[in-house]
Amino acid sequence: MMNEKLYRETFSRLCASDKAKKEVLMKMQEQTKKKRLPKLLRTAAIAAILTVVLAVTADAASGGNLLDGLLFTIVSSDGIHETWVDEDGNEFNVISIGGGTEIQDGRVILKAMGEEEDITDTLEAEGIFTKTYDAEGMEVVITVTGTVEDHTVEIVTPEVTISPATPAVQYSSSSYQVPSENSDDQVGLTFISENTDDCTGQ
Amino acid sequence: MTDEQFQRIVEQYGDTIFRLAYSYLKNRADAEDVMQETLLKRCLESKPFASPEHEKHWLLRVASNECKHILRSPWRRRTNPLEDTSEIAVFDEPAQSELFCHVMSLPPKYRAAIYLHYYEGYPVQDIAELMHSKPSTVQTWLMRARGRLLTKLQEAESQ
Repeated sequence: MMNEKLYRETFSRLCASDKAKKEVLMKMQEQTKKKRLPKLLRTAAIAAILTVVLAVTADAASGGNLLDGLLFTIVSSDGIHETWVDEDGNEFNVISIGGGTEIQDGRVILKAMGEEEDITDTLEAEGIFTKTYDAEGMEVVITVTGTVEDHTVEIVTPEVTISPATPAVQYSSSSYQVPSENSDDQVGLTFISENTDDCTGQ
Repeated sequence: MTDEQFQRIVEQYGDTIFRLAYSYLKNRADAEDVMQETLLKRCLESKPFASPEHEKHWLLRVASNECKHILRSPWRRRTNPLEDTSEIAVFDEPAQSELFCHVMSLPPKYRAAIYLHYYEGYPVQDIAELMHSKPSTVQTWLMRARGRLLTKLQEAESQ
């Protein structure tokens, strides 16, 4: 017969090393902080930085080269509010609006402000789906137009969605026209879409 | 998931996962790899768990799958891990050391089933789910493991 007490006492001595536990904590931090940003967020961040540069320095000479090699580290996130730090240590408070669509089992799912909504029926019946979200008191209107297979997403905000913690800069209103790309991908902003894939430096 | 939440999970379940993995693999390095891999998968898992028991069950299932994956690898099947028992744990009594050696001489699935049953207190039905097997099969593993252990202990006593 098995001596259960002795077995439990024996195997309770078996423990993972502290080193292994610390390692996994570090791996987790690396995994979350260095994650590749969703395309919409990346492009929105770049748009904000572009605005900073244009508003503060009016650095026309920077041109398209400004987008090369940008890498952000997410230092905190609760799913909607994120703090990003760029390679120079500049901190950005970001409201992650989302606004991408995904096709799941032939259904169009809109992902915005931490919510997922099946918009297939409305899109098929009316060819358009519009919803207004409240992002920290800021009105965000997301409009999806087209068909299940081929649709575009437009995100309109009366104010900016990203503001830098330092330096404090006021932004002008923004209206982003977002094209639908691959159905299983996040959407991107059109006016800088050519640079999106290279902009993270990854 | 915040760092604090993840740290809590590591502290709460790290050793449990490690013990199951060690029971399967009989190698500290491999068992720690499985522990880390399982915990990182938990970190990426966004679905909510109904209870801590549900979460633990999920973690042990993932760990069990990871261990089986390692055991199936061609490299693993051609080699036997070498490990000195004295390096894995320090036991208070000779009886503990003796039992540990006897348990570790059993086949991996027997060791895992024994661990889940006698240490974690899972019933046969739950062990069958965790190990992707039938309850009757788990029952057989446990019975044979107990029989083999009894024989080994009797042999040791008679010497």
